[in-house]
This record gives sequence, structure tokens and C-alpha cells, in this order.
Amino acid sequence: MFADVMSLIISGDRDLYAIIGLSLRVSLSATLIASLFGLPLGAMLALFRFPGRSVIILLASSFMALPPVVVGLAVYLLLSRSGPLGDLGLLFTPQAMIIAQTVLIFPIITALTHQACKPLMRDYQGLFEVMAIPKLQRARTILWDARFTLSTTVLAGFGRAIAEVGAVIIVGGNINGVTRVMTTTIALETSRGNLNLALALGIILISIAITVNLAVLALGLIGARHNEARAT
Amino acid sequence: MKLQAENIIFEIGGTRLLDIPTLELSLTGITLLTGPNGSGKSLFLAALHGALPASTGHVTWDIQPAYQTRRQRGFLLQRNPLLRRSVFENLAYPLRAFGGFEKQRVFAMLNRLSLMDKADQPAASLSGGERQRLCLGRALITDPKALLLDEPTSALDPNASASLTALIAETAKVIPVIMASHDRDIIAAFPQKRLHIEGGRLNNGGL
Repeated sequence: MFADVMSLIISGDRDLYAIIGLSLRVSLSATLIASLFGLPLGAMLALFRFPGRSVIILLASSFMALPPVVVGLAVYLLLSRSGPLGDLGLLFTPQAMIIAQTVLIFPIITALTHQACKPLMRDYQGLFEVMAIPKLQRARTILWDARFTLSTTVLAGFGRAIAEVGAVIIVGGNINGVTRVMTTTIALETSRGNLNLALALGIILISIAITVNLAVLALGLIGARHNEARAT
Repeated sequence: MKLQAENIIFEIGGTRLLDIPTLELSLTGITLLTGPNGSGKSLFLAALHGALPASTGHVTWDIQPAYQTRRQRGFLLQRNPLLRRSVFENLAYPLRAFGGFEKQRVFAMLNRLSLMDKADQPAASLSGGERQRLCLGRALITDPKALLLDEPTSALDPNASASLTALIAETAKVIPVIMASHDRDIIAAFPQKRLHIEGGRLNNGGL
């Protein structure tokens, strides 16, 4: 059985690699979009006081543990024919899956960015004040100096997206050749008894997870070396 | 350079920490600000710089409001944060932030601070004395019109303190410096002009 699984992976099976390709495309897109909004928002939460800030921090932290099926359901209701965005016709498309995963990981990236930027802001605030650094420049400084931690934040978001099944199966529908990704295929093929394909995808998924974790570890080490004996 | 302050009051929870009804100084060279711990030296310096958010009153430097002209002055905080960057990038930071970045300016400052050989090191790897020199250089690299220093030698050993004091004395030949300190060596080195503060109130001891 193991030999069959490995030969499936090595053979370069077209369907298998199409599934992997779509998985990566959806999760990478969601990570990119969530980062584009989550990183600046997280930095803003650490840097500035404004009305509603505490509520946003509370929501971002609470929604870090959002169940994917609940996100899938909410996005499904939004995109379904009778929903407010039904006219866009996005349901059961990769775009819908990207939206769902973006919603899922946006709070994670926002909350972790806020956590990463807060201690830096505490360190730098006095300096910003006496140097009269403009607000936008302050945000850029904090984001840049927290870049190693923020890289792991983004990778954590990607890890969450690529591994989830609940949201994409609801809004994507697991349509063969259209919206079938690794996790939904594993669920389907396991129920069908086609364990070879499910296992092959499982191994690839775990390989991706290990690669992401190695990247997180490497970035952490680089960051630690960069900030070695940092000022207290 | 003419420094004027009026009605500088700073209170926290009903306790008045700073109360300076009026002050007018013509600044040249080094003006020392002395006083015991907790007397309000840091608050007073921050108020003069226009960096005290809750202050009342009015401070001007050559008739210009202090708050609006902060970039024209260098300020060395008592606890100066170093950016989590290299020594070079710490010095380059104000130039990059306000425009006018030139490598040559940074190299010239590195040379002046005797930190050229450490330009690419993380700033956090410097010794205490080197860190203070770097922070002083960062405050000076934009060619400020005045310099305010809050206990710059308080955490330094005698050698590092002497090296920093020499840099400060050199700077004071070009721009006016106000320096808060209770370091006896510093007070002995610059005895000419002194402001003394106690309980948030000023008495112009040596002026």
C-alpha cells in the first residue's frame, strides 16, 4: 500500500497535482489578502488609540479560534443566490474558497500582528515622540522592525488556511476539477475507500506543514540572531 | 538661541509634578539642569522640548512653539531605545524618516562616534558606552539647532562617561545644550550655567 502511495506521488499524476496546485493557489491568495489588511490593522491597533480599538482587539482575539465550518456557513449565506452577494455568482468557485479562508485567517494575522507590535511600540514610543516621527512612518518602522515575527504570523495564517476543510467544502462544494482541494479530497476519498489517494495527499499536506514550520523556525532563529542581546 | 516658557504645569492624579510659572533663557554652550531623583528633571526637559502631552502652558524656542519645532532639536532620553537594526541603520533612521538620507552623512557620524568598525553590527550588540554614543549621534545627525540630554551618563562607567562627555562638550561649541544630570563629574566639568529643580519647581541657581 505504501509503495502504491509513493508511486502515486512520484508518478506526477495530473489530477493529483491539479488538486495540490488549486490548494496552494487558494490558500496563498487568502494569506496574501488577509496579510494586506491584517498586518496594517494589527500595527494600527498597537500604535494608535481610536474609538472601537478595544472592540476590534477583542473580536480579533476571539475570532482566532473561529470554527472553519461556521466561516464556511457565513460565507455560504452571503454568496448563495438569495444572499446579499448572490448576484456575483461566486458560490462553488475557487474565489468563494479564497474569501472563506481570508475571513478565517484575517483575525489570526491581525491579532498576532498586534501582539508582535505591542512590545516594540512600548520600546519606541518615547523616541517617536521626541523625534516627532509622523504616524505613518511610525507604523512602517514598527512593521519593519517586527518583520521576522510577522513572517511567522503570516506563515501561521497560511498553515491554518491550507489545513482547513470545513470552510472550503461548504463554499467550494468539492467539485472535481473545479474546487477540489487537498483536504476536501482526503475527506471524500476516505469515505469512498480510496485510501491510496487520500494517503498520498495526506503525506503532501504534512510535508507542506513541516516545510511551513521549518520556515517559521528558521525565521525565528534569524530574527533572534538579528536582535541578539537586544537593548532592554 | 532664546528659550521662553510660561505657566508650565503638569499634574497626575491631582499631584503637581511640574510648576514653572515663567522662564526666559538665552542659551549658549552647556546649561546644566540639576536636582535630586524625582525632582522633575525629565518632565521639565520633555516640557521644554514640547514632548509632554498633558502639559499646560507655552514654550517657545526663538519665538517658535516647541511642539512644532521638535525636529529642529536633538533629544537624548534617559532610557534611549535602539531600533532593532544595525548601527548604521540606527543612525540613518532620522534621515530616512525626514528625507535627506545620504550615506556620507552617516559615515561621517560613525567616524565622529568612533563606531565605523561596528557599522554593520546589530545596535543591540554594542556596549553601554557605545550605545549612548550611538544615541547621541542619532540625535545629532539631522544637524539640530539645540540638544537636550536627560542623564546621558547615568548608566556608564567612568571611561565611557568621559568619552561621551567629550562628545557633548564638542557639540556645545556649535549648538546650545541643556543637560539634566546629577553626576558629580559632569557638574564639576560644566559649572558655569545651572538650573536647579526640586519638587517640580525651578530655582535658577547658577544663572
